Amino acid sequence: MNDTITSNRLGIQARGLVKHYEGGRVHAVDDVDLDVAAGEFVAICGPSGCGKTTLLHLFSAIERPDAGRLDVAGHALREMSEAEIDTFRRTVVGLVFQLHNLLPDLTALENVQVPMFGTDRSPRERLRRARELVDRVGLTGRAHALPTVLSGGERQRVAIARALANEPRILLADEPTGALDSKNGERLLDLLDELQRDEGTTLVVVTHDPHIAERAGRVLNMLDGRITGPLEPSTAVSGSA
Amino acid sequence: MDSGGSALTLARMTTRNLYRRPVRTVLTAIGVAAGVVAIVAFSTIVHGLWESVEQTIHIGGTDLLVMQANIAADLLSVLDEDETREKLLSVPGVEQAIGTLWHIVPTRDTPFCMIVGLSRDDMGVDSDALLRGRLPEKDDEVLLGWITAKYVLEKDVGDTVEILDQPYQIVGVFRTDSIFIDAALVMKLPRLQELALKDGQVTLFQVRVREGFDIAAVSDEIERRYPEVVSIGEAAEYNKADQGLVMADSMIWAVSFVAILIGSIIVANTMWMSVLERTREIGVLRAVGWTRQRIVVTIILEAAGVGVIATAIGCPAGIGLAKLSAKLPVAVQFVQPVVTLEPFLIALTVAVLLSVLGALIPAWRAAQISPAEALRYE
Repeated sequence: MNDTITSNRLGIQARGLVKHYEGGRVHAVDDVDLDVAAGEFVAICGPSGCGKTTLLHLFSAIERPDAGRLDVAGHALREMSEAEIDTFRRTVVGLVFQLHNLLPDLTALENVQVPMFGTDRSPRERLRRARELVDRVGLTGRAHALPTVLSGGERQRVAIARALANEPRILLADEPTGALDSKNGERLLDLLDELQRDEGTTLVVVTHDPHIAERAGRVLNMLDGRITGPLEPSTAVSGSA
Repeated sequence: MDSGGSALTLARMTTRNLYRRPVRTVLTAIGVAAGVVAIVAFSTIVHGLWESVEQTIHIGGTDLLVMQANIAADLLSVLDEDETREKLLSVPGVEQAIGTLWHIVPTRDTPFCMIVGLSRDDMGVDSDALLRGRLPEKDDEVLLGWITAKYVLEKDVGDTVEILDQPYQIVGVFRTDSIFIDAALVMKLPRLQELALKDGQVTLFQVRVREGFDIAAVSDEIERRYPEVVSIGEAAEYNKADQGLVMADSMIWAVSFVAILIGSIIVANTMWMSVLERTREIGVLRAVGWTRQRIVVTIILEAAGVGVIATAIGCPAGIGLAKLSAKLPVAVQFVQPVVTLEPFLIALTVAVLLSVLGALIPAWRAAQISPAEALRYE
């Protein structure tokens, strides 16, 4: 594999990426090399504790790698200042968490506006964009509902709308269907499919869900902090579930 | 399709966060409000005292009060009546100088009764000030200020008051612009000089300045010619003869400082708990690109919101407390609360500042939260 990052056209490029915890005793991500092309849909599978979520956190710059090089949408994350990292998280990547992590006191519409603080958008523009996204994820009638009264599927759709608020080039999702029933899971996958197809958003999904793996363009297997290679979707499903 | 709704702002988020635990927010605000109550109540009372001093200085059209220099309390002032009058009248611009004696004695009815000895209808105690009865004609006749009549002695026209074993007939009750005079018993000056063993002595002189003369200049000239006296033209100068008001002002700030300290600790505790409870949420905010500064601003705004609520609670309570204090028998002689805008503005500023002060450490803690750790936080 080429050790030099040569092109910004790639969505994500990692070389020798390392993340340790507990003073180096836990190798959450261990010497990972990975290329994800812009607009690609990649699923990362693996058993619990294999380092999938940590890898996603590194891609989204909410954790800093201990070693290696990581470029995301042309941004060399290890060389960026904290202020640049904040801007990167706000504008380049969108994050969807397994447990939605919506702010409980804000309505669906307000939750979607949260990442737009600190951007050039005026409050009115933020509201307009949030309405647009809430409509897009099919929650027009639930815009003013608090997360506590939304179903699991609705919450996750709000979380996707929030992740899309600043039109990120890369969407990172951690077990997005993990807390959903099969019907809601399918609807969510349709939405992710649509995003990737229509807007060319790079999609990296960490999952145990066979249906996501089936829809992904590429499925990678992860074990003990390492990418152990590409898998056929059916293999990934049986191997990681 | 238009989903309606309003744009999310930091102020709106602050309101939501404060409303999340309304009981805790209100209890914290009450803790801060204790300081606001202290500031408003004390300020209102002390402001009333200043007003009363100002009115006493100018009562009956007087321009200046002259007292003995280098004393700590006004009642300690002793001036020779004839000699001082002669000196004052020699100063250009002085039209009139009237000596009055102030003395505190116990009576059969109260351990503490202020008596003012007047040589004539001065200190505003004239027929116009009479609520009922008449002016004294004999040495054993006295007038009561309405406060003394109602709250101190609980006596009225026709009753007798015993002072140092001597009975005095109450012939009238009056009301002036000064709470100090209204809380006194008035008798003829020679009689009080005799009672107080201060023959030929007075406490102060009321000085009227001739028209066309500059009052401040006359005041300066009195002090320049006679350094043994001080001349007071306004309440702000009263500390020349009495440190009481200055001490009252100092007390306000001492009490306020303690309240600030307690309020800050309460806010700090609440905001610390709030930050801990919201660790995961703060992590999410950081993960979606909120800067540390914005997190700090959010926490500070919440604390400021507590300060505003505390002011809203504390101001009416402070006024209520001041008015209640003024009704107490022991206080009614001295306290006449005056409500002005100033203590409210001070209270609002102090409440918001102390709340923000209390939130600084929790806000700093919130800013240190790592998004990755926060997302793992249960």
